[in-house]
Amino acid sequence: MTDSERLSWTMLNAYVDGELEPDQAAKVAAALADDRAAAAQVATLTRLRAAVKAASPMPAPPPFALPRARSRAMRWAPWAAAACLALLIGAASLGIGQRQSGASSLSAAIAAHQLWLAQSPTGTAPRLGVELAGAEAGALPDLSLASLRLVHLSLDPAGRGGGGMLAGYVGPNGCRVGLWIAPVEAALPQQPAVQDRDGLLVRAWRGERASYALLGRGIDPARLDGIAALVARITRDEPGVPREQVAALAEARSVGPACLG
Amino acid sequence: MRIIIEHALRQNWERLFSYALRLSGNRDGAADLLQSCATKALAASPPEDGERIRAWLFAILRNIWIDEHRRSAVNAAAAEEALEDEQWRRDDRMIAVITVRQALERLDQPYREVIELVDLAGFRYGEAADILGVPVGTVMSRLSRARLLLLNAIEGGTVRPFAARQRKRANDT
Repeated sequence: MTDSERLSWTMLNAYVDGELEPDQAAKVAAALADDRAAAAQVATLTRLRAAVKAASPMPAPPPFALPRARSRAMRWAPWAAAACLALLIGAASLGIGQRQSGASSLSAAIAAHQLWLAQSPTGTAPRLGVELAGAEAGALPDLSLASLRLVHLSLDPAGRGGGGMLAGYVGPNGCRVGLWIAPVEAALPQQPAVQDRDGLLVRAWRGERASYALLGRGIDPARLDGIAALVARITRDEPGVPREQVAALAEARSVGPACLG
Repeated sequence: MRIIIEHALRQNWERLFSYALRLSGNRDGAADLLQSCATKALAASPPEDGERIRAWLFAILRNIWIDEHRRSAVNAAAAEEALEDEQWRRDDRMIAVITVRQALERLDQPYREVIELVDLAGFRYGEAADILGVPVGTVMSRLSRARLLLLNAIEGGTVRPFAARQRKRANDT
């Protein structure tokens, strides 16, 4: 390699970047001693590199946040939830399991919720339960507006309480709220009503295709009311959520006492 | 495996965002690109050589950007012709933060990108070549051309640093 090739602009760039092999770099350094123009280019490159760094301050990135891991169960959980709902709604539309008394269905809801509460938050799922490890299941209400994410799903055997499904949601501080979905109960009101029982706060109502009960232990009643109103709205397929309702949810969350369940 | 990738993402979060910003040109696009990169990385197997994981993340981010924008001309846009060394008549006092910043904005994407990778992210030529999917020789020529274009843009820019203004005024009088 001649000195001219050795001191080409490309080679000088590699020299300044420390990309040359030691013997190559030594030869370039020796050649630079006899070539003022090439030495000036090295000086320019060195200054340019420093200026580029100084002129490019690191932009403030968004907060570090990673997507959630999707477990094997998570991949089929939405389908499972959709299938459960379809079964329940199908049964309701055929008149199967339609009952006049809301009390027995609520008993099954409370039993399912207490069974879930009895499990440690990280414990394994029961026989018919599906631990969802977070995120959404397409067929179930998205309660992220109430800072709740779906983590649990259990199907109550039809022979025990007339059939029903408990979707378990958890809040940012571990507060657990259960949404019981069962065939339509004629005895239930059309709007969420207080049905507190057995140490649980319960709001129950019926929709067109299913009846619902929202359950929580030690949760602020106002917050549970807000969540029930949100669920009722979502399950009625009403478009959008009024700003006042979102604000009420946020307020209940911020001013209410901590949840025990 | 996820822990290793998470750690690498956390370590390089700022620099990856800076690179994403350089590619997309706006904060929202860069934030989306960063999230897509994290999602894809966490679902993939990192290179066995731990030292290569950083370049691997940058390559994922870049590939997503290319896929999304279908910029097949990303590489082709950079002319790789050999450079003739012109007579060196540079005024190094023109090289200042303000002039360099302005010149960087005027540089074409492929040249800005190689400067981002080598000068700012600190990648070796070989790593930059892996990220860009080109031979090392191409990185060398593209980078050297990028710097020459940068110097030309600095000299042709409208902003002049104070020292150069003083010199110009002295020459004019």
